[in-house]
Amino acid sequence: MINTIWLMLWLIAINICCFILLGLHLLRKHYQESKFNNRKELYKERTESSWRDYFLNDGPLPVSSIPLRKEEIEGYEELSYIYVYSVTSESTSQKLHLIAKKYLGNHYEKLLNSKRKGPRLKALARIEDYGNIEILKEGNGADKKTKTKEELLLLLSIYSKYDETTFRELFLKYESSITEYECRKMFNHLSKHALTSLISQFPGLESHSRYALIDTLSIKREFEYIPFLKGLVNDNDREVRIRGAKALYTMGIGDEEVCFKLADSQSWEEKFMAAKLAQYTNFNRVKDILFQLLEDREWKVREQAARTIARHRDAGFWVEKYIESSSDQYAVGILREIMEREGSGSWTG
Amino acid sequence: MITVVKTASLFNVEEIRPFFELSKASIRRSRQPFTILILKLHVEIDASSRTALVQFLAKQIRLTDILFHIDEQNALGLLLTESGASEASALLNRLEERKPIPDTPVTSCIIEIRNESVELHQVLKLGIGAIQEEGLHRIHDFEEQKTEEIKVSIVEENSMFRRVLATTIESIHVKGIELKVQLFEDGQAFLESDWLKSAHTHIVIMNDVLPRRNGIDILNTIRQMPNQQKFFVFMMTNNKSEEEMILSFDRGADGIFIKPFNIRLFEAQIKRTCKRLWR
Repeated sequence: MINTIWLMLWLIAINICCFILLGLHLLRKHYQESKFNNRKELYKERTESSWRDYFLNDGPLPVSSIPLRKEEIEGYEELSYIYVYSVTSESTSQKLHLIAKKYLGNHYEKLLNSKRKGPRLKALARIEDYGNIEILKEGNGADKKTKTKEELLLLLSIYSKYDETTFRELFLKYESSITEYECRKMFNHLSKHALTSLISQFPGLESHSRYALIDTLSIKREFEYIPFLKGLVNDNDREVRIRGAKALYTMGIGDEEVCFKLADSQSWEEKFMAAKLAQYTNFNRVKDILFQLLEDREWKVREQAARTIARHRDAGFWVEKYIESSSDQYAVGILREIMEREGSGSWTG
Repeated sequence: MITVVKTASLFNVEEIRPFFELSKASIRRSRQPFTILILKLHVEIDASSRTALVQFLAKQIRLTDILFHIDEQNALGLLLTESGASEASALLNRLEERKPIPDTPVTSCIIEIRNESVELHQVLKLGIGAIQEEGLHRIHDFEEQKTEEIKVSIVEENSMFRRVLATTIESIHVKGIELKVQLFEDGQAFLESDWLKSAHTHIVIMNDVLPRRNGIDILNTIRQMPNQQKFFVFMMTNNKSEEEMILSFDRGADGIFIKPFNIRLFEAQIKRTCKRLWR
């Protein structure tokens, strides 16, 4: 009995000691962290204006402000954040690259070779910001076998910005592990040349990459992409046809052949796009399909067809004629309503 | 239907004084300088030619311009209430091309007025002095305008970015304008500040995403204020979406900066906004 009490007391004493040690350890960590943060804030305060002068106003390189210790590097990263994401000047990105390559290379190399994922991701994120991809080419990046999904995405994003050839190789290799949204984000950085190269590989791409590529082309608004986008109307994939039509619509390109083809489809989405695209074409050439779509089973298609007819200035005569002769009271109703609300001045009802 | 018939009214110097005072009083509010143009013929002409000349001048000027004569000098004056010196110069060129008495030498003097404390007799004295010699004269003595204070608010969460923008704005120098900058880190602080309540022209530069009240919300509030016209609102955004940009312009934004933007472009746009205030 006495032994058990002694054992209990010993256990309590050991626990108390452990708690005291843990508390001391936490206090020490807290002290170290606040000291680290104070030094970082001091560095930021001391160097903020010289970096601003260097990055934005063609000031001299502030040699005394170049970060050497860990807290200074963190401070520099926080300061440079605004020159990456908020304001730039003519040569800001070259200067950011120069500093990262010349003075921070070793630091990021160490982080890239870390066993923990966090530091590796951090290094990749900064490389994406500063463009110092030379480090990756020295055996720290693309050819490394063990890569998490996050690392892969960061690598692809880096290469999409700074090395399109490596991007293409890496992208085709890991295409299936990337989502459509991620593809779109990366394609957005690519040059016209790299996008044209991806267009040439379009049939071999996976569907999510194809969709992302079409959406990207519509945002880029380059005339060179128009024939390719028009050709998508003959694709076997319904989603590709719809997205191709949407891209043409976004770019403001009308084409009667595309309208005819889409209007003939079984899906209402394609017919809807046919009605939308018809507003950029000559009314007389597309009026037959527009009046045909006005009687479609799907009300969204009918409404869009009516809206497109209303936007054409020379539609008035044909609208009168249609209203007189049509037996589809729903179509006549929606056409009347939209012509009154949105129609060109020639329509008197 | 109201028809305005333009007649060749010719005033004397005393009669134009109230118009001069009125134009002077509205310089600051309308930010519009006005000009007096004095024309002197160096040959004697008969009464009918003089009438023809007056009729011709009356036809060439705007309804807001006033034609007057300066008796003892054989001179005519034009009070151009809505024109600066450059427009007066263009008018002179037009008159020169179309003048009814072709070979008559005319001396002219352009006096632009931006200074609210000037008196009519001072202007005429200098003008009459100048036209004694042949040629085209320009008097700059009354172009000095009072410095106008313009408020600039920067509403941005990131303190370092706020300071970068403030430093850039403080480095902008526009003649006759002084920029007073104030920084806010969230939308609510900006809307609750007394800084907002004044008659000054106010340039607001703000992020679309802000703590407490976001940028679009602030924009809506500003545009619902009775004195909303004094605000020039520039939005900063990371969003490249065209729909979002259209929405911002619809709500009343005067400009949008997509981040990261070139600081020189930003500077040029703010400078241009300041310069455009004065015609």
